[in-house]
This record gives sequence, C-alpha cells and structure tokens, in this order.
Amino acid sequence: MTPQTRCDALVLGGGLEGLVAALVLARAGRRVVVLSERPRPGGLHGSAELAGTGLETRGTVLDEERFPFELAEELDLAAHGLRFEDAPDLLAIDRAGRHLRIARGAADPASSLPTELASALRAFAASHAAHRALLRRELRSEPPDLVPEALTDALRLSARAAGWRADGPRALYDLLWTLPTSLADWLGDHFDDPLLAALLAADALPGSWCGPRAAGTSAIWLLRDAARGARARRPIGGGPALVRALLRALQERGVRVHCGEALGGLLASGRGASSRVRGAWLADGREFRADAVLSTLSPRRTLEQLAGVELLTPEDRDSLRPLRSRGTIAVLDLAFDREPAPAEAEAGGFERLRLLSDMRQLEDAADAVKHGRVAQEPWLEVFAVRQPDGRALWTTHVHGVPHRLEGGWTVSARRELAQRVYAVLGDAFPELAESVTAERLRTPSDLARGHGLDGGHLWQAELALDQLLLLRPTHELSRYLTPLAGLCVGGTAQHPGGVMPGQAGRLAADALMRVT
Amino acid sequence: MTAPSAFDAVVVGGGHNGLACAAYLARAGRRVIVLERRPRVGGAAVSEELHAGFTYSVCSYVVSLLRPWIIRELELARHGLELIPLECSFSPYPDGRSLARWDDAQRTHDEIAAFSARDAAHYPRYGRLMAELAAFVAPLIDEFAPDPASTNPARIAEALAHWRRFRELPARMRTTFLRLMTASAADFLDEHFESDALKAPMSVSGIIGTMQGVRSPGTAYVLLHHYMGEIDGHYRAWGFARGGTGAVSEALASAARAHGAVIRTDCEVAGLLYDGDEAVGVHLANGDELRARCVVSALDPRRTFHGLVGRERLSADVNAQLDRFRFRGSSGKVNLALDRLPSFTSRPGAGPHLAGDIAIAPSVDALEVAFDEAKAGRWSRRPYINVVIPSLSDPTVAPAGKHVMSCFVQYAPYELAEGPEAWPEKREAFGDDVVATLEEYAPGLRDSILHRQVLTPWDLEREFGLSEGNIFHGELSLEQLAFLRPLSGFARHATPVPKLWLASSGAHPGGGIMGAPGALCARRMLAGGAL
Ligand SMILES: Cc1cc2nc3c(=O)[nH]c(=O)nc-3n(C[C@H](O)[C@H](O)[C@H](O)COP(=O)(O)OP(=O)(O)OC[C@H]3O[C@@H](n4cnc5c(N)ncnc54)[C@H](O)[C@@H]3O)c2cc1C
Repeated sequence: MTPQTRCDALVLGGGLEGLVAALVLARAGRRVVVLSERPRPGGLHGSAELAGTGLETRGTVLDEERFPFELAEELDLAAHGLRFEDAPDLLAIDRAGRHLRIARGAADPASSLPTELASALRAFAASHAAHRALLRRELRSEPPDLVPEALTDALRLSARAAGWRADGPRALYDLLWTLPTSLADWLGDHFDDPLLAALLAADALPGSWCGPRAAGTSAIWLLRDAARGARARRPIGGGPALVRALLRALQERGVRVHCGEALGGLLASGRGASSRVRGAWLADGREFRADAVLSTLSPRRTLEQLAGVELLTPEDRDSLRPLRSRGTIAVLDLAFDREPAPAEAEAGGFERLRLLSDMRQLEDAADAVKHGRVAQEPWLEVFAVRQPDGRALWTTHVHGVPHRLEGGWTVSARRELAQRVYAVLGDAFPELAESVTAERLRTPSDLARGHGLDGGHLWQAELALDQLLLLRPTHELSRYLTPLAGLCVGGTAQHPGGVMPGQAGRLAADALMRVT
Repeated sequence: MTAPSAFDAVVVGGGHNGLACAAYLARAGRRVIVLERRPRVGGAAVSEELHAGFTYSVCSYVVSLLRPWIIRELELARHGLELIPLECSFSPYPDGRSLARWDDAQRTHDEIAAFSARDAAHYPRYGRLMAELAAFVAPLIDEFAPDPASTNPARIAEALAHWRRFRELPARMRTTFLRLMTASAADFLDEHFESDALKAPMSVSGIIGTMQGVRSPGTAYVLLHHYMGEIDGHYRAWGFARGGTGAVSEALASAARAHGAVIRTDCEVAGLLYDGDEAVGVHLANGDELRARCVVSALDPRRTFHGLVGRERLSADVNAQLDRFRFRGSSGKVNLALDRLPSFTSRPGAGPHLAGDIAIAPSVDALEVAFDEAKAGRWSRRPYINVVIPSLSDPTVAPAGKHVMSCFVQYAPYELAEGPEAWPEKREAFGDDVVATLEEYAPGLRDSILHRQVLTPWDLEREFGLSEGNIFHGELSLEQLAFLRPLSGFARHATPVPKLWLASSGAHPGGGIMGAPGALCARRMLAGGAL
C-alpha cells in the first residue's frame, strides 16, 4: 500500500498564487495541503541568497507594487505582520545620462518632474483616470461568462455590461479606443519627451512579447496602472514579506506546505467524460488524495504533463495550442560591498531604476527577440536592496533576451549577453564592473529550468491582446475551470496574473469552492 | 447659382463609394450630383491606359469584397460589370520550391502535402471554419456599425441581436472568433499550420494597407475577408473586373446615371456652403457654387473634416479624434507593361499558376524583416509583393501576346526617415527594388518591361487624394473600426456637421472595393428622413 494523505483541496505550487489560493480555501474551512516542487515556498516572489554573499534578493519578479491591498485585508495579513508603505520613486536614466524621476508613491507622482513634463504627465493621467475604477473591478473579478446558461449568470453579465456603460458613452468610447491601441501611438500622442514616453511604456512591456508598437499594449498598460492605483503602495519587505505573512497565516490554520516534492501526475477516478481528478501522486509513489485539485503550475504543465493524454481529449489538448509563453527577460543579480556611484550625481538615489532611452530602443529589443537574437542595447530595470552596512544587491531585469536564442545559449552567448548588460550599466555607473563582488545571470532558458517556467516566461503566459481578460490564458480556461472535473487552475497564466499578483489564486479558489 | 437647390444631394468625390451612394439615392428618386476632381470617376478603383494598348488597374486590382447585394440591387451586370474569378494562389520560394493553391481541393492537397502532410489534411477544415465565421461576420459589414455605448433602445436591441447570434455559435467557433479579433495573423495561423511556406502567403492578407506586421496583434481578423462570400466547395471569391478594376466604378456610374444622377468630372470641391451650422452645398475650386439640400462627402475623414469643413467648425474633441486617426500609408504599387509573360524559376514557363494572384512572401520572418525596415522609415528592400497578371484572363487589357502585371508592394511607409517629401526623388529607386525582388524569382522580367508606373504613398496622396497614401482611408485597426470609425458617436454616416454625411471608406465598414460605406450611407440618409 502506498502512503496516502487526504484533504479537501490540494494546491499545486507554492508560489504567491498557490499560497493565496490555499489561504482563501483554508479560511473557508477547507482542509488544504500545498505541494511545491521548488525547495522553498514563494516561487518568484520568494527571496533567495545570492550564493556566498549572505545577501538575499527580494524575489525575481518584483511586481509587489501591484499586489492588491484589498486582498491583504480580506486575508487579514496585517495580523501576520504585513504592512504597506508608499512605493519608492521610479528613476530613469537614458544613454546620454539624462534622468527623470516619477514619485510613484506620492499623491502627485508628477511632482518630481520638470514643470513642463509634469503637466504633460498630469494631463495624461487625467485623461485615463476615469477608467481606473472600472478596470480595477475587472481585475478583482473573474472574467465574465459571455454565454451564461443560468438566469443568475445572465443577470450578472448584464450588470457587468451596465458597469462598463455607467460612466456614459464618452468614457466607454474612449476606453474601447484605448484598449486595442498601441502604446507607441497612445503615449506618442501625449508626450514629446522620448525618455518620459519610454519610461512610461516600460510599465506594460514586461511579459509582453511585443514592442510598444503592438496593438493592445495600451490595454496591458491600463490594467497595470489600475492594479497599482493612482498612488502606488507596496508591502514593506516586498514579495518575501508577503510570502512570510501568507506562510504564517497558513501555519496558524494548520495548512501544511510541502516543498521540494517532485510531482508525478494527477490521480483520477472514472474514465472519459465521467472522470474526476482526485489528487496527485509524487514521483516517489506517495499519493495525496483530495476532493479537488487547484494547480497554480502553468497550464501546459498541469494539463499536458500532469493530467496527460489519458485524461484529456484531443480537443482539449488542441485548445492549448495557441497558448504562448516566450520569455524575453534575463535576470542578473549583482552584489556590491559598496555601490557604484552614478555618472550623473544629480540623478540621486534609487530603489527602482530604468535604464532606457526612447521608444525606438524598446521596439528594437522586441524585434531582436522576434528574430531570436539578444537586443544590441537591452533596456534594464534595476531593483536595489541595501543593507545597513552599505552592502547592496541589485536584481536587474534585462529586456530583449529571447528564450530560444539563435545558435543556443552557449557559454559565449551568455558572456556576450553579460557584456551588453554591463555596457548599459557602465554608461550610468562608470565604476560598476569593478564594484561587483558576486553575480548571477539567469537567461530565460535558465529560468525555464530553475523555476519550471514554460519558455522562461515570468508570468506563465504572455500578456497580449489575445491572452488577456476573458482570453487569459485561453478562452476555455479563463474561468479557472478545466475540462476535468475536480481540477481548477489558478497560476499567473490566469486572469489577472501578470497584472495583479495574488489575485488569480484568490479567484481560482473562489471558482473551486463554487463547484465543490 | 442661388436658385433653390436643384439637387437633393451633392456627392463630393466620385470614388466607387460616392458612386454607390449616388446610385442608391437616385434609385430612390432623389436628385443627385456627383463631383469628381479627376478626369474620370473611380478614385482608387480605376482603370487607365497609360501605355498604348495597355490598361492598368492603377490602384486596386482584385475585387473580393464588393457586396453581392449591391451588385444585385444596382444591376451592375446589366451596367457592364463582369467578374472573372481568380482560380489560383501561387507563391514561389527562394529555395526553388513553390506552392500553388487551386480551386480544386485535391490538387491543393497534393501541393501542400509536399510541404506538410498535416497541413494538407487540415487545410480544408480550416477553410470550412473560416467560411462559417465569415458568414457570422458578414452581417456586421452589411449593416450599420453596432454601438455598445448607445443608450438608444433600437441600438441596444441591435447589439443584443449580434450577441444572440454569437451565443448560437458552437463553443469552438466562439473562441476562434474572439481570437481572430485579437491575435496576430501569424499566431492565428500557427495554431492551424506548421509549414512556413503555407503560413507566409496566407498571413499577408492581415497586413494589407496597415502599418503592422504579420506578428502584430489584431491582424488576424482580416484573414476572414478572404473567405467572405465563399460558397461551400468554391475557392475564395476573388476576381478581376473585365476591363480592369475601373469597370466596377463605371458600372456604378452607369447605374447612377440610369437613375438620373448627374456626374461631373474635372470638378474639384474646395469647401462647403453653410446656412448657419448646416451644410447646404459646396463651392468649387473654380469659384462656382452649387447648392443642395444636403452634402455627402465620399472623401476620407481627414479630407472631409480638415479639408472641406475645417478645424474651426469642429469641436476640440472631434479635432482631437481626427488628429489621432491613423492613416500612415504603408503600401505602393508598381504597374508594368510586359512584352512577354514572366517565367518563375520554381515553376518555369506559362501556366495556370500565373493566372491567379502571386504572392512574394518567402517566410513569416522575411515579412517581419520587411516590416522592421518600414518602422525605421525605409521601404522594404525585399518587400511583400502581391502580383496579378489580369491580361491572362482578360485579353481586353493588353495587346495580343503582351501582358500587364500589377504589383502591390508592402512596405512603402509614407513617413520616410527623410520625410514623406523625399518620395518623389526616391520613387524610381523604390521601383527598382521591386523589380529586383521579382527578378530573383522570375529572371528576365526586367528585360521584358515595356513601361513602368511606380506609385508611392506620396503619389497616392497627391494623385488620388488618399491622405498619407492610406489605401483604406485610415487603417483598419481595431480602434478604428465599427463604432469608432471614423469618430466615436459618428459611425453611422452622420457627421458633426448637420446635413453633411460621410459615404467613403473612412466610414464603417471600411476600405476595399466593398461599396458598403456608400450604400449604407444612402440607406441611412433615406431612412432617417433626411432626404
Ligand atoms: C494601390 C491600391 C491598391 C488597392 N488594392 C485593392 C484591391 O486589390 N482590392 C480591394 O478591394 N481594394 C483595394 N484597394 C482599396 C480600395 O481601392 C479603396 O479602399 C477604395 O477604392 C476606396 O474607395 P472610396 O470610394 O471610398 O474612395 P476613393 O476611391 O478614394 O474616392 C475618393 C474620390 O474623391 C475624389 N476627390 C478627392 N478630393 C476631392 C475634391 N476636393 N473634390 C472632388 N473630388 C475629390 C478622388 O479623386 C477620388 O476619386 C487598393 C487601394 C490602393 C490605393
């Protein structure tokens, strides 16, 4: 007899979405077990030591500014030590050394800009501020069922439609015009300053395979803006603090989080249409039985590998075909005993920094990826964590790096990538190369291996017009249910993953409770 | 000319949409006059003999979307329109291979199978899926644009009717429809096919007339256009008009005249006449004035509102919407008179493969490289070219044994890095690159050229009045379609100027030789009791 564990709900994946889903279920009185394939919980939000330095990163994705404070309240995370603070400024420096600063966490984020740019930014913000509340509601809700069967669902759909129309025709026209528009066009209409336009555009591009000229990049931008809110706040301590609070809350409710468990597959009863998922088995033969399984692993991993051909019909498998998840970001962690000084001292300090110059550079980076090459001049986003003793760790997202590199990720290809990144960093921080005490470079293909990410994509599924909202990650899976009874999906591939961290896990848990 | 208006409507612009609108109004008994700036009607749907004995379809070259109900209702066949179907799509590749898709399913299967057996098997299924979706979408281009923001009960009822039709689709088709509206042409085709040789020439329909690449989101939708009007088992409904594309316009003009419309050419309109806010006529470039009960503009939105009307008569909001309306033409045209037929290395000699449309689209990546160049303000050195040789099916357009070859070329961005004014001096260099590209596939072509006409976006703007050379009167991108085309709140042919109507491709459902904007405009004017 194989050793067994029983529970009401088995959550696969111990990243942020999995932990949130587990806590939502546990708070509703379900007996929950979490199984994580990684050695540490928290996934891309968890911290990791940069080998040999004693320095801990603040995670890999660093999108905690968009974690919804409402969710923290619903889950009572304050009781487990989670506090919020105003988000830090966003600093940008271009290749000529010019800098701009946006005070993300201030009541007036434009206040730190030169007067003319500040008024342009304020006018721009005013032009779309009206959409924020509506879009935030969309982010906090599951995607609608467009063809409801039950009357209550039909009423819900019409209420939803009424919500879109509530601000009057002008606002709706404007929103429907903006969503499919390209960022290059939309921002181009508002800003003459190339650095400011690029700095803003860069909000929408991580996770998109396309550049700012692509239709629908404005939709990503608006959604992320709505997720952050007019005045950005973030959990103090970032992703790792969030993960710690969730773990404490789970522990208090007796939820066990098993880490480092290699999954073998899903357990199911019955055959064909009447089959039902009943748990999961591990590579070592142990079984975890449950009334339902909520997987936060990628849809491909969940359905193609864990459920497998025995459980899925050919049609179900076909519906996954369009799903795209090609990573475009490499992550470079750098440790310093003493941080290098910026070339232009007046740029000032930063916690969050973008090294980019103009829209053209962003588009070129996407074009390079499209052709399987590394961008000539990648654009960077740097997140700095500092120790009281002056030591620091920078986690740098390098944009314009394909998962499938022409010629493969050979040693020399990695060296070439590192050189290009150092060239960009070196422009802004002349002494950077000499100051580095340790580094770790992860290409999209390293991330794919190390974190089980399809295509090395940090949010499991690309953000694109055809993979957003009710199309995320595919229309069939958009409401967290799968073709298999007893199996829900709730990873970042699900709405609003990639936009509002944590919320997909929350919505998937709701969906699971509705059907079991 | 102050007599009480002799005309019920004056139509500015004698493109095919202006003519269709005039024909419908005249057919309903209204007194109509059409004023066209050029010496002949047709606008971008025009045939001209630019080299003795050779008739070019100067701009548009294939008729695919002309609404069947317009052909029927205006009896265009009786007025001389004859459509000759295209029976093949041929693509040569640089590696010496080639692919031809035929009217005959088995033949097409065998051709595709040489590249991928799986694709060959799936191709007919794909065709059926698209044909069914095209049937679902057709009412959207045959009716006024649905308006999700309107509070008018009649509009809400229309929107609900569309939603009901959506609900009745099988689940798989619903998903496919949603993806078609949002995905890129290449991504959408990736779902269905594996062979680049098949996907590349199929994907290009998504980029025609837009400054987008085949991998740009939102380009998949146009793939459907190829299946509109397709009848089960038949190849897509593409064809030549006998005598050149101008024959469509001539037939519309003849129908309009038969119903009593007056058509004047060489007659440029300079502006509108007003009574208070209302448009009550036009004044011409030669100083004449012409009054009517209302005015129809069949020009593109920029020429209509910022040309005929002028900023000062429009609200700040309307001006802002017009300023962000994207034209940015991306295509050019090269028309050739040939001494003999071209011979393609990959399929030498004459043959039926030359009689359809020929796509120079070597791979999805090559198409993206072509687009990358355009983004940087250069024409593509190795562009996508859509070639047709109508003289093979229609002997009236060239002397016996000789041929006309029409080459639609993309990308030729209006905004060159040096600015659009640089186009005239670069025109022939652009033409040379087009011929050089073709020469790689059909050596000897260059030596067979008797006459060449090169049209850049700059020329399309100057000669045909297409702002920034956009062939569709504004890009057919999602934010410029349906209830947003050309101005939100004014997508049903009425305009911010009372008694001024918009009948051109700049209105819903957009560009191409469709006739729908013109016909729908007339329908709206007649139904609204405006006339
Ligand atoms: C190169 C090219 C290739 C194309 N290929 C195809 C194709 O193969 N198939 C297809 O379906 N579509 C094609 N199209 C698109 C299609 O031709 C157009 O969308 C369509 O013909 C536009 O028709 P229209 O009547 O709306 O406007 P237009 O044809 O632009 O008509 C507007 C008319 O107004 C006139 N005018 C302008 N200003 C004034 C003035 N001040 N006073 C009086 N008259 C004025 C112009 O001279 C013109 O005749 C192509 C277009 C181009 C340019």
